[in-house]
Amino acid sequence: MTFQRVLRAERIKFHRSPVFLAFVVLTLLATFLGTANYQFNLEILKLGWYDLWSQHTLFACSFFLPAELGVLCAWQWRLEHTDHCWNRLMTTPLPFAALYLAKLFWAGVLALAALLFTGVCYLAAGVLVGLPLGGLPPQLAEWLLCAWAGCLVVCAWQELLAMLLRSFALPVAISLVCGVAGLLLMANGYGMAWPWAMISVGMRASDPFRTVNIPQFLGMCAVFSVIPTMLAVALVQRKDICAE
Amino acid sequence: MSGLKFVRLEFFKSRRQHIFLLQAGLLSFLLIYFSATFSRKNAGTGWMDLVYTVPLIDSLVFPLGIAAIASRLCEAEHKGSTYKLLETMMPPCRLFDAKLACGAVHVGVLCLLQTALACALGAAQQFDGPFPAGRLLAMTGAVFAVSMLLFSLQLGLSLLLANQIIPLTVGVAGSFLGLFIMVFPQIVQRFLPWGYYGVLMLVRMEWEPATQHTQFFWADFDWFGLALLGVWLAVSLAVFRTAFARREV
Repeated sequence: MTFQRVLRAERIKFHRSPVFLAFVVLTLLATFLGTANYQFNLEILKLGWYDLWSQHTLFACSFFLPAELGVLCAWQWRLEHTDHCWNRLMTTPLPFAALYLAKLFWAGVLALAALLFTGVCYLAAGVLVGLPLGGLPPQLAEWLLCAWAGCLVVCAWQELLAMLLRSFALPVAISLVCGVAGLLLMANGYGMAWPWAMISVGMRASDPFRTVNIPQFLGMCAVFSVIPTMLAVALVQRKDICAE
Repeated sequence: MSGLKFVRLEFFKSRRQHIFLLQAGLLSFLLIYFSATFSRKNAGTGWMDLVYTVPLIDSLVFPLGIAAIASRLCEAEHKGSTYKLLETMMPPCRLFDAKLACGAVHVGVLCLLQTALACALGAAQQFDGPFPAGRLLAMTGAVFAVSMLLFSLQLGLSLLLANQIIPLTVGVAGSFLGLFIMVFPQIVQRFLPWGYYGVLMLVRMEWEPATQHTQFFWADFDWFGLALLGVWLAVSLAVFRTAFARREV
């Protein structure tokens, strides 16, 4: 079986699933509340598009995007944890890494779609509150792409957790706690050392003017993504599977 | 079979569901957060900071934590498709009540241990002033009441929907709303169940934009807010209990 066919199989599993709704609803909620808060505090928020970006993404990138990605990855593995799917998985003639990477690939695609939707909502909200399009931050694309790299890191870890913990709820709860811990670590200057803080570091929600060393950031993202993938493959190769 | 026996059966069913591990994880996180927050605070306003911070951080972590507990309590039935079998032995309403009581114990333990941890930390930091036992008790009661409202919502969703994506997404959205709604006026907070952590706070904050000075002060307990919370809880229980009882298995 080629990798393309694994990708196709993983895509088919998304059919008729409401998992994307979590991203749509929470992004709209963040947009609505962030814009309302921006409008209520115009006398202290003087930086226009930059302040609107902070209001839209401050809570989302630290707490809710990791939790949403946790829901997505838990749902992906729930399919394998039910109906003795593990037995079938382990006897299919394909390396386990291909399956893991296919899941990670689609989680990444959904995360990218969610971030693009966040960008669209940000633009629409800015226009609605009367911000001039000419003042749009030129760094917007960089923020979104760096946030996506951070999302891939979170997805890689959440895939591992969701694979190991055969419960839907536990990996999601862990992602929220790890996201909040990331906020604390970031406040103390250790954001780059914690996988769940990489979205905040990339998105620069708390300080849109902060400079990030992009090669270092992407390097850390790559390391943080490879570790759980290797761990997952090594664990499955060494540990016997008990299908439920 | 007595009601108490049904509740005991729920505890048996939730064995190896790692709910206590989930609670321990939440409490460990709270302990780390409180340690990081209170160690930097002025000991003179320590108790006030504590009574302010506990519901604030609860509004963020409890909605999803409670969603996870509710989801775990319903997992055995969904996994084994045992509703048909169970409902031949007990009315569905009794099953709902038993799960609610079992969840109340879990949530109650979580709230009590959280207060105990915060108090221990306050004592260790040697906060000034008399120990505000009454206010801490009121805070614990308020957090428990709001958490039970959220638990009733989450339990209803987790029982009715086999796919746990929706209840957990509601939990994530609740965490988001609970935290974000704190920056809105109290009248807005009353319109959403997740806003009641803010409504029933015993410490209020006032921020002066001109001087950028933040001031905390003790507030009276919002009995009207508690009454509204009671109405929310009654409506939530009535809706979900009836829907669960009438559901065709």
